[in-house]
Amino acid sequence: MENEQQLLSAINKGDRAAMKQLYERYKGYAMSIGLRYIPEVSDVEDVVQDSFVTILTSIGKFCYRGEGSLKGWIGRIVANRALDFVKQHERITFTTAIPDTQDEEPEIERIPPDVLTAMIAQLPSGYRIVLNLYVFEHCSHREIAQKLGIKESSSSSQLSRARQLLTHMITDYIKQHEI
Amino acid sequence: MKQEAWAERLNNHLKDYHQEPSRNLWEGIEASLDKQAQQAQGQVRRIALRRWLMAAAIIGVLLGGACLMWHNTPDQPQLAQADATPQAAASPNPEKLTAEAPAAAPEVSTTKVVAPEVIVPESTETATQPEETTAQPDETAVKPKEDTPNPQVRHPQPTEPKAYPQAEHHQQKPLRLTMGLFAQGNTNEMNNRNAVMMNPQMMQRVAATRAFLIDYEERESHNHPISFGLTIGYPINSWLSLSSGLVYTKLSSTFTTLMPNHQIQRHQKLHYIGVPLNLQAHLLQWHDFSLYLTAGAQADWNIKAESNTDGINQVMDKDRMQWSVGSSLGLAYHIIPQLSLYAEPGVIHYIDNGSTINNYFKDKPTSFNLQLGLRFDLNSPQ
Repeated sequence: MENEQQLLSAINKGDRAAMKQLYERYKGYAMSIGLRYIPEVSDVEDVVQDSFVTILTSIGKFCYRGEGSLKGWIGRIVANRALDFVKQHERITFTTAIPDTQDEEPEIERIPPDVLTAMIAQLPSGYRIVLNLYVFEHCSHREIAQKLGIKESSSSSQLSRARQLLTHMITDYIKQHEI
Repeated sequence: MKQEAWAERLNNHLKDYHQEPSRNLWEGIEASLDKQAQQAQGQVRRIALRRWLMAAAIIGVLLGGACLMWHNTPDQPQLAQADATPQAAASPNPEKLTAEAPAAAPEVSTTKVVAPEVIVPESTETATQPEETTAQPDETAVKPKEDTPNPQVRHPQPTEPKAYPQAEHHQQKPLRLTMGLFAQGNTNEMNNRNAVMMNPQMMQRVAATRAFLIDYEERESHNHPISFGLTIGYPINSWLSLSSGLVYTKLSSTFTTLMPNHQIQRHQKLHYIGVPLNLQAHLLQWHDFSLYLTAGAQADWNIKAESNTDGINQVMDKDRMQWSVGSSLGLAYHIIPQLSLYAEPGVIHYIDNGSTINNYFKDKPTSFNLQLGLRFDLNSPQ
């Protein structure tokens, strides 16, 4: 299989087969990102399809910085598209209150990835967006505040609440499935 | 358990998770690519046409402006001539009038309407007659004839500023409705940058950073604002005038997130339309130079916000309305009476609008700026 640089070079020459190869290689990765933001699978698929159109039409502007950089770029495009979708289709509310109690350590590793992804997608939109941006997009609270037009403290409290709610969901799941 | 460690574990657990789509998305992608390629071809043609139309519009505005100015100029000499005739050119004219008026209109009682008609041929005769009598060469006779179509334009102008005392001239300048075109830029250091190193102390103090990312750094670089504007000045009295108009401002910034072996760059462009309201006090007038002081406020509305990460455009919220106050010292040079070139170095303070969008206004709330422009006098001097 061709590496990222070879694939890029072929795509920039207009090679449709190389474009399809890029899609085949990263479609699963793109879906896994979209599913953390959007609960409905068909909506995620629409977002992934639009994202690949953007990727393939903008790939000339991408600056290659070593193996893995193309994958990272694709991931950010999908995440941004998914975020825009949530902003357009869901009413996002943010709370400024910080939870009083600090929950115990959630046993994340005991949960199958698809189930954990679905749990994240079920979080209220404000919690879900901040958690995704902080944990998976490596954004600081400052960046999140800028992106969403909220205060940094508000971003921090969203994350704390998201973590609290996710811990409850994980604990319930472990109890129900006795794992 | 620390939030950062928990986030790292969550990230690691889902890092390699892949989910195949339930349907084939490639056909839709390919169809969209074909459609976009066709649209792009049409768009190129439309852009080319739009550029030609814009160029034609600019040329039209410039020609229109020049035409207006050209039509304004004859008014001034007429006024100047009316004033100048009794003063400077008083001696030859009465003689000619008395010499020719009876001959030209013996039976008509000389009314005010007739008088100017008589004056016009006189000026031609005064130009030709002495040459016929004193100097025969044809070359000298031709010159005045060339001047005859617009003797009113050329002769009074040099006499006007000389004939009037400086004090009178000083009072005339501010009492004109003016229109200005300008470009403005800030004069701080070339490019403003700031970097935030996420060291452990900062991370403990602010729960806003990522602990598990070593050497994580965020950088902001804000380019100087560039403004272009159109203003109208309205005189209040002999030394004060009020000006307002429309100002376009563009702000561009680059935000860089640096991680080990990884870098994300986001470019932000904000376009504002502003309405200034300034009070201008005229301080000094020396020959063709004038010195004045300007102070006022401006409201800017963000009409377009663009964000682009690694070549991909993203949706971005617009900035809130931005207020600013400023003051400047202006120096104008009158190239011709109707047109002056000016430079206004000044200080401007941008009031915090409370939005979370980072830009030059927030990074440098107080800065020095320089405005350069052209000012047109829309009406003739009084």
